[in-house]
Amino acid sequence: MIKVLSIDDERPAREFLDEFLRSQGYISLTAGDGEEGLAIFRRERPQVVIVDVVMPGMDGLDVLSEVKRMDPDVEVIVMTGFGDMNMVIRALREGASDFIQKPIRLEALQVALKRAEERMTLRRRLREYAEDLERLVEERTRELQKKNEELEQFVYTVSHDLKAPVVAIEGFTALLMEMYGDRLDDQGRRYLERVRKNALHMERMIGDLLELSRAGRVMRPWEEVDLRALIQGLLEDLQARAEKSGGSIKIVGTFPVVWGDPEHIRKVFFNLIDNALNYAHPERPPEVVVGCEDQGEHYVFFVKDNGIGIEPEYLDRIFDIFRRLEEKGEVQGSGMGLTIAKRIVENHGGKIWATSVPGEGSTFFFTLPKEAKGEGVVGRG
Amino acid sequence: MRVLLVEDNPDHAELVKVALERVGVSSISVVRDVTSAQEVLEEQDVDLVLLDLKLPKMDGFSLLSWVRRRSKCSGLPVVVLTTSVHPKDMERAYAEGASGYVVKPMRFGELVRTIHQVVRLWSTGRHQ
Repeated sequence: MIKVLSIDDERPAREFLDEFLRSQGYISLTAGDGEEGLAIFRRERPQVVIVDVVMPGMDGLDVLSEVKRMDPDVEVIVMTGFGDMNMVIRALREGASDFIQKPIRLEALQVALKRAEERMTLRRRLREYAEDLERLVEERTRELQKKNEELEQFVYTVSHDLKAPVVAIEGFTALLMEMYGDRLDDQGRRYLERVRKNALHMERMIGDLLELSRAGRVMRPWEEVDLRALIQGLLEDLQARAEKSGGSIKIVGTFPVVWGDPEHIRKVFFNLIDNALNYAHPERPPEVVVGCEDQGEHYVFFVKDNGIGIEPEYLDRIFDIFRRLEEKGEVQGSGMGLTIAKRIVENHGGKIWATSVPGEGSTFFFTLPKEAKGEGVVGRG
Repeated sequence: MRVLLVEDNPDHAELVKVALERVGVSSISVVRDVTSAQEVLEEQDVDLVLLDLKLPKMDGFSLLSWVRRRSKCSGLPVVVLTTSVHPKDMERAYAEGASGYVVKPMRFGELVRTIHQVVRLWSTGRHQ
């Protein structure tokens, strides 16, 4: 049953509306002025309010903004005098749904009420639809998350299982070399060496896959991570490596405290700096700069190097799995370092990308949001 | 020195045996699961256990805690063998009483060194 509240200072108008509304099947409430009207509104919460614009004391527009404040969905029909178009426009601007002119013509009132009812129905339908949609999206997201977890688990299990035969291949090849190497000719020994190298490669790839699957999962609850301390610690390990080739790693800017997984975040910085050192230019020592910039909603971090650079057509593919642009032989770094970094950054709600001038160097950027963005519950919800 | 190797993968077991033989250990028993290991430990005297963590039925950790709980052999050196390099797994192994930790694929030198270290430390009475 729809409740309609009529507010008019003129008693005949009030009675007229009241009688008409009852005859149409509405629950009718009336008030003689704005204050009384608001009190009744608060108590009864009618869906429709018919209010005279011109009243002593609180006028119709004041009533309009008050009820709209209390219930943004309320349908307000303003009654105006002849020639009051400015009032009408103001009222419509303030959220009135309709207007009828005094003296009230029943037809006009009926039309206005009908339109109000239609709008209410539409709104209700929209809300239901939106709720259904939200529920559906939640369901699908849950399903997707579950599938994702299963996949990660699968990668993890398979990678672990793959290690066993690799162990055997490496072990027996080493034994062969040691115990029977002198009975082989150069070619034989070379062939054995190639088998061993490939086994090592497989071992590294499997290790990377395992790391990648770990990077995609929340392994431990998130916490505050002091990036300045983290980077300092990291540099202690990596500085020696850079200095060995006559290069250096510098820090610029102030590093903040962020929210996330400290081991994972450390991995991102490590992998980027490691990459910078691995792809140094043969003709000059590696100079790496690690910096941070506050960009309002998030922080941007960068690792800049003066290495060999990356061709523009590869810039978006470098984060793909097992993508390596140059064979780096026995290099410690692997084809997965960037993929893992990307996984971790995205898991933390950030983005990662790179720019480069081939022959001069590259800069890798990634963002981390300032506000803690979800996760932090072990097992990934 | 009598060594008990608990390893279900025959290839890995072979590799460890060869390594041990090459450094002069001739008494090596190989079992494939925790239950058999417990039987051997009950009946025989063993100086060192090499234990693969990933075993069928019960995993290696259950044997490790069993050994540490039994007064008869609570001081027995146990070196765990595993494919995992993850620091958390290493922490757990040591926390549960491992005397040493060898990562597969194991380089022979490393396996032998670890065994030497462990046996020396543990037989001079230093144990958890």
